[in-house]
Amino acid sequence: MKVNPKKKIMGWGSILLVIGLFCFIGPLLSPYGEYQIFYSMDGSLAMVKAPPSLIHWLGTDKNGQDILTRLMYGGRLSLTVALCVVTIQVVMGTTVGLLSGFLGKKVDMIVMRVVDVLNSMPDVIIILILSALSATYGFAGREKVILLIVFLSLFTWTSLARMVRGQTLYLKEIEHVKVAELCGIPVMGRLMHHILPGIRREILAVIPVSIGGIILIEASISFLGFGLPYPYSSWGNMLSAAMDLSVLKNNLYIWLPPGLLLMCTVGSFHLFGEALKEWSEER
Amino acid sequence: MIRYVARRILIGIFVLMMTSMIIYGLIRIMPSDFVQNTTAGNTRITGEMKEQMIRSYGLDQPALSGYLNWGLNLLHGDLGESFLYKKPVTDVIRQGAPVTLFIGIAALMVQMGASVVLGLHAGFHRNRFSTRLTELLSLVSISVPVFFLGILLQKILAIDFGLFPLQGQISLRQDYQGIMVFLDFAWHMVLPILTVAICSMGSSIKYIKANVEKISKAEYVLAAKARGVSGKEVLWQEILPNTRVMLVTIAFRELPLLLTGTLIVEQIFGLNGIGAMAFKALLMGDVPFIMGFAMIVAFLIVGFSIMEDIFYHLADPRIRIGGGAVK
Repeated sequence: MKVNPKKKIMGWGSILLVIGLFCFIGPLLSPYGEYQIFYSMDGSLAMVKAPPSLIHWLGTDKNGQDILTRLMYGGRLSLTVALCVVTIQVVMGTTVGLLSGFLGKKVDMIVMRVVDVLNSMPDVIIILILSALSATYGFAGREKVILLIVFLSLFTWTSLARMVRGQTLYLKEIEHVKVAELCGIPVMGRLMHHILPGIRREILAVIPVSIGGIILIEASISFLGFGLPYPYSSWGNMLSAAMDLSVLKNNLYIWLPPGLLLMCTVGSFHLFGEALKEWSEER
Repeated sequence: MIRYVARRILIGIFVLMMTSMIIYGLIRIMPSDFVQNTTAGNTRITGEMKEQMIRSYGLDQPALSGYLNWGLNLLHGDLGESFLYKKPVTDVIRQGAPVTLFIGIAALMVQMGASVVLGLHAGFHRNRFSTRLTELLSLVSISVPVFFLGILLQKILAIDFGLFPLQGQISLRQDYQGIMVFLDFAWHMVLPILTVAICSMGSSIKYIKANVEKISKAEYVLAAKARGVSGKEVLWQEILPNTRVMLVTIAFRELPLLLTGTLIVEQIFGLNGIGAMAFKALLMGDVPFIMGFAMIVAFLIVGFSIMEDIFYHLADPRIRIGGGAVK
């Protein structure tokens, strides 16, 4: 029972599309705002931890905000961060990997040491330092998101660079590249037209998996309370509501949806990546 | 071989130096330091007292000389004294280490054991129901965040079924003696260990499965089958011995991941391990403790990658380490 990889790509791709629509179009359709707090009938108390109903499909959280709406906004944030980080990763990783593998010698030596240093940095520490930095400089909201993106991409581009470097080292020795060199095609031309096309599919196949990874890291940071602060929603910080034992015990609808959504999203990205990988190895 | 290892170790030391420098720099450029964090909101503390504190913690020195001091002390095996815990950093770490190590090592054992069994099974028998189930398990394990799994296990196994304690590391209001103390501790560790192990299982199951599939296609396996060797014997005698190298690789690759998982799990289950301490220390700006912790983690990461290479070679002498660059 071998399924055609192209069909798999279409299948998982369409699931990802649905998740994407939920996160990016959903907020436009929701009648509620991200920070809107709902009050009970007589308007005196916030409608805290209300169970799912027709008005609030997934209920409200401990601050009286609509969970479904916050899920959409949270997803929008998580996906935006992940997409930005992975874009930077791909650009940096590919450029550095190509140059390092192709030029070799001293350049390669220096680049690989930089990669080693970045790789051995404990992620936890880096991330905590990032949040401490933004706390003390009073960064909030948008600035903090940008800082998060910069830090995450700075410390995660190295694995892609390693992969691209390895492939480049291999492709460099293959005949058509050698012939191109003898024909007097300049370095840039050889890189762009003879080596890059050979790695394109591999790079493409890594992208979804790494988006999933970034979503997970971002969620853990937010869960631990070092990501975006409260008024903003993110799947990770919505889950941290479950650290409260009474919520954990009695209000399943508050913490289960963000967790399941997170899991499905990461899982779909992973399977999409697997399908792409099969397709890239098909030739 | 020896020359290669020596070179790797030298590079490793260089990497550790750069790492420590960058982390020290990052901590010191934070505008609020330990003194500010501890005295915030306390009106009785005068400017003079603050200055005295800053001096006693050595925070008045410029970052460069502070770093050099720290480095020189490190050469004597002295990690300095934690600002927050008022004890030598090594003592503080020794205090938190048992919990973290217990979870880490037990989780590694559980995850290796489970992934070898499941990976071998799924790789050897294709198109069985149990194989599909294993695939599903590894997918879930890859995509579930550590903290979500921890919460789920707490809800299901601790609250709904009451099989395990919800949080903490010892039973309060109980006075256990002897072996019971350890059993009680282990009972509290079951959920954290399960959480970490399940979360890191997925990729190794996948990896083992793919490799077993590859080995099963090899000619010597085909030859064994042609000789009439039964399926079980093929698995035990032909395939299993050839997975040795791969297991070593996985073990070393998983260790840093396990460590990160353990740190998060400690937070969820309210355990008093190194991770929980480090989070606290970082929020307060406790420079020596953060440096000590970061260096240990970085040392482990660098050390494991060197050891992985060496074991690679020992387990299978055909593999030339360093990508053939060894002379």
